[in-house]
Amino acid sequence: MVGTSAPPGAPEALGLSPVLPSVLFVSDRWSTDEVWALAPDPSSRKAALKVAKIGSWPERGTIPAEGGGDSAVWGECKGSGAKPYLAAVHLDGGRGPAYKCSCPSRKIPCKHVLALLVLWAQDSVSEREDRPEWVTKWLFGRQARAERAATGAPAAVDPEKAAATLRAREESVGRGVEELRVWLHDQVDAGLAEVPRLGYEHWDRMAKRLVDAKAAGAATLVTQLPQRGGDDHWPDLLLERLAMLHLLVDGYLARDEVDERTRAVLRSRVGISIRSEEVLASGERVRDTWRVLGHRDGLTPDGMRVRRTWLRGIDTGRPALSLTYAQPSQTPQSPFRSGTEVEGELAFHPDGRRAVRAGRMTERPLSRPAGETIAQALDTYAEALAIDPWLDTWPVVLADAVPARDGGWYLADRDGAALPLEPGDLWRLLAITGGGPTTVIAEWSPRTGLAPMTLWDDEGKAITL
Amino acid sequence: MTPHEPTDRAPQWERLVSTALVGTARRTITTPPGLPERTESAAALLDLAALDTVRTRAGYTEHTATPIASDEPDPRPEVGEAATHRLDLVLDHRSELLPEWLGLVVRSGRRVPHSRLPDLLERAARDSVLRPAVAAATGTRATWLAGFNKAWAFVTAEPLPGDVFVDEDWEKGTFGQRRRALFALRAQNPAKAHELLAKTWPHERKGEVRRGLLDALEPHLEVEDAPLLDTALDDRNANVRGRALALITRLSDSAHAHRLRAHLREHLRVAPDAPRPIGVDYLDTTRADLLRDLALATPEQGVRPDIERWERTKVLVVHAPLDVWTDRFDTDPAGVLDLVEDHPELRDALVESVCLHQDAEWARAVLDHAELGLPHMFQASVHKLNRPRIRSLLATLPPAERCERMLAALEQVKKHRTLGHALMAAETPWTRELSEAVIGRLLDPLDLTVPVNVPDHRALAEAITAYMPPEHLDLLPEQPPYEEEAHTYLRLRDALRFRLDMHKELS
Repeated sequence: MVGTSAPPGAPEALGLSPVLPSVLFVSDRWSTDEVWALAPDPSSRKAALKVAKIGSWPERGTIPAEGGGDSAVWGECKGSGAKPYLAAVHLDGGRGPAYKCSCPSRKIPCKHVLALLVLWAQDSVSEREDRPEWVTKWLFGRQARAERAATGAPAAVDPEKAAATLRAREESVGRGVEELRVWLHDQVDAGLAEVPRLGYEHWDRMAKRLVDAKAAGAATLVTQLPQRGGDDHWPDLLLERLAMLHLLVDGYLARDEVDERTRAVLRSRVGISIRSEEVLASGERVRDTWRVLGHRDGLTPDGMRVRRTWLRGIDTGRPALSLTYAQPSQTPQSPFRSGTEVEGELAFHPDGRRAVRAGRMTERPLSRPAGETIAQALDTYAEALAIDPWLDTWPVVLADAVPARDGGWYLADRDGAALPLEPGDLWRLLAITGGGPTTVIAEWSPRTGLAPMTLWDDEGKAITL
Repeated sequence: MTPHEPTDRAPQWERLVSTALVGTARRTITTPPGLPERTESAAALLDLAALDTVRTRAGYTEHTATPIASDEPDPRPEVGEAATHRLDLVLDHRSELLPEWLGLVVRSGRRVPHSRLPDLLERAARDSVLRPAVAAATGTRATWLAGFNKAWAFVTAEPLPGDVFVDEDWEKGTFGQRRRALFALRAQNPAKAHELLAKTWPHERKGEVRRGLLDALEPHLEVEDAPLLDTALDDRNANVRGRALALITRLSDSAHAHRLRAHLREHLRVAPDAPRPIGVDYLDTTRADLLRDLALATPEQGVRPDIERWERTKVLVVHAPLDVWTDRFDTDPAGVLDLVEDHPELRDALVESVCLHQDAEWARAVLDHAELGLPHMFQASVHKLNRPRIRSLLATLPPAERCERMLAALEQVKKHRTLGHALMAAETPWTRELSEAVIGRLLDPLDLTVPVNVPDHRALAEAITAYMPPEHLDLLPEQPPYEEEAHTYLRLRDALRFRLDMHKELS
């Protein structure tokens, strides 16, 4: 593609109005911090800084969105070669930003896209009436695909066929789980004392059998069984994990006798996933203003990066979890930005917790939630465990939380109740709060403690960690 | 912190674990009433274990812990979002600009965002040069934080402009708190601070504490402080003696200064017909009073080379007030320098004395001197460049005069590299005229040998990056003047633009 600018009015010639009608998501200009949060690794951030100069981008512009704000940013970056690199970002594509760049880098987003976004965040890219043909083509293609997906998706799911597929999958998984049941009993019959001397293959063989049976979730739990590192508590932890696997096995094998939601939880834990298209087509829809409580990143057992973004509806009080995955070299892109709240519909998975965004949403800066006490937060977690006993992380919104000490560090509420803090962001938490009471949103894990995600400073500003 | 193990487990859990370790083939477990009977004892055990695990998780009970004492809000406004972003860039890629950024923050009366404090304190923990600037820009919140992290305790000892003397800090505080309290009092009431220090002096057991408290006398040093400093010259700790000498030397009217004058006069030898008409006798090392006044240790007995004896004698020349020379020979500083021209070691010691006493009249005489002067110092090769001397002679003069003198001197420097290093050594911000002249040299086609000498060119660019005020950026054309070193040139422009933005954000 050659980066010549189309004269003003050219989009009409293509049958497009100058303002693309696919605008679903109005976004304010981001802060540079938010742009850097997209960088897949520190080196791409460094590389991007080198090209984030106005001089490198002789041609650049934004395309306005229908309801104000920007719909897309594009630019042509002078590189070492004769042809410029063509970079563009579709900001309101419906499922978070989409990127395009003609450079050969395999990182997503690449340094050119990051640099372009940084310039945009710094107000160095402004609206342009004219835009090059490659931008128009790309956005038009995206719009067409989005429309196809919107109109075509429900029809693609044939309920009878889907039910048959699910049954076949359940049966295959069932055979794997039955094998797992026997294996579990064998381990406990033989005794766990020998476990530290067992090699990796011992666990791996069973995990592979489960993968073959399409029970990836159960396979993951099996790979997490062995405890290395000589922790004195290994027998406790191993027995806990075996017991939780046992619970899953028993539950799954009795799936026809439990209610719909529990069955969905069992399916999802054992590894029968459901496609987003299906969730969008038939999942429960809930309209609300959703506070994006914050996110935490982790790794899946097979080395993929996963971002857990927690949301909670302001009116319904309903928690929702958005999961996004990425290759190890990339940062997972959540469609929800921390520090904001979004108004619109979420479509829930059958387990009633995981959700995807369904269509148009408007975004605002995050408002401060009222928050709860630690006792209330623990009660909510216990209720969630009753539906999904395998749930090991849970968002809590604590009102008037203060840092406290008793040997280690804790976060205490005004009743004097306290939960241990995960040490990762301790110093930033202390520096921001100065020890004073504030609203703290954290991810709670009974094993590792509270990991703060978002909190409010003395001046009432929300800060995302 | 250790992972948090649930401690309130039911007692039967231990029994489940021990049974699981042995194996249910060898030991069975009884199902308590109310749970379904299992034919396999493994399943029975796992049932109980699952029940207990879920119960423990769901029944997680809160702990109790004591809330920490909170900090007062910092009254200074936080720097803006752009400046905060600039700080992140500086921390990531341009750490050499961190002191400048911190200085600008302090001058603007604002403070660093609290969320960046841990990063800055970490830097300062590793690099002590940054500590005063980090302490000033981060303020009370950093001091409060340091109360929880020993690695950051240094920040509590840094005196800050807004500090107020609190009696309790001085009486009962840590060393850092006491030192800060004394600095604060010194700023408000110098005499009172002196009085407190004199009172506590005989009771301070640690040499490093005495050394640290002595620092507080430096601002507002007056002749009234001399007796205490004189006492400190008898200290058993060599660092304390050295610090006391450095401070007391600045007081030209003290008893100590008068004694040094007498010592020097006694050692001065004038013999108009000798090859060296003026000389200084080697110190008599049996004279305890003389050694003590110069904070010198009694030398070990034995044969001593002359060079060592001269080193000791030089200490007297360097510390004695300079007026001994002008009075004795009844001439001005330039006249004295001419008189000792046949004795290069002595002349060198005199220049050092000028640096120590920070005397502007003498400094001008040195800088104007035909053989010693600034043009001569500027032309020295990189290895012989006497950076501390250049810096400290210029430091006695007003900034505009420094730049005038540098401007005059730079015409005589041929190589870009020498010029770059000389300008770096001066450590002073430039006037517009000086910037124009230096940029003129950078762009002058006659200056450019072809091909461009890369290291030479870079050394000059480095000096411009560090010391040219960024608002003089307009002196640099946008396009590089020569192809070979276009990269260095563009980097120079980038760095100056970066500094310019930084100044604008914090003006």
